[in-house]
Amino acid sequence: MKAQRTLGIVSVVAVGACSIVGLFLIPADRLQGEVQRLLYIHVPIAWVAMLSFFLVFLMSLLYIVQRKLKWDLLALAGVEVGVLCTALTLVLGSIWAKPTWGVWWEWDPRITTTAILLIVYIGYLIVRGISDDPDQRARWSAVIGVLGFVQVPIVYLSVFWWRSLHQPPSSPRSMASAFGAVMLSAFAAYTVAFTYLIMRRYRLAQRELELELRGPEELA
Amino acid sequence: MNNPWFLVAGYGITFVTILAYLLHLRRREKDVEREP
Repeated sequence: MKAQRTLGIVSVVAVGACSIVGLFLIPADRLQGEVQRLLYIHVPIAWVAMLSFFLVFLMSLLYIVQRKLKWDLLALAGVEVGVLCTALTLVLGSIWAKPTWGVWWEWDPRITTTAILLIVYIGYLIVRGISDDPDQRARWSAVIGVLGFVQVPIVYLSVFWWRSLHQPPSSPRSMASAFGAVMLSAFAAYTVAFTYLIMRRYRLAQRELELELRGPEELA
Repeated sequence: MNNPWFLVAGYGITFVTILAYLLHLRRREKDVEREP
């Protein structure tokens, strides 16, 4: 619990510091102007979304092999964080696109595949609500967790496969060194925040499962 | 491109959403803590 609290404090400080540097200390991009500062949160949050779905994929595979519910709970934590971050990625991208492209939304391959990714994992959360049996729920979820991950490389590669309005992936290597350093720090800060959120959501899921498994015995 | 409201909206929506998720977790944690 103490480790979780420490990680939470580190996350707030790191994300806060990166936001202050990105918003106020680093100069604006020469071509994109002030709105480019949105990329210091849009890109790291997109990274966390992909990391979350990779975690879901791994945990779902582990569940299929070992049939231990702890893997299912970790996958659930990953999906919740992933859905939150994918939705934020789309909203941030839209706010960036309006002044840059002149439109809030475009049926561009990267944006469209990301929207499909979001729908797939919202589907995962809906499917979890269908069954009251924890094992059956975990089995169904694991299948979606593994199959749904196919969409992640499609999202990443969409800007290379199709003629796209969306620029190729922004990374510290594709930017000037000062911008790249801020971006790299933001990646690190949001990865720490991701670890904190997963840890906290997993603990909650564990406790909820304990109560769920105990419930029928008390009623009987 | 230099309208600051786009930045306010982007950063604002992000942090309010994350805060809302944390509060949602906190409420559910309190609910399970209350269970005997």
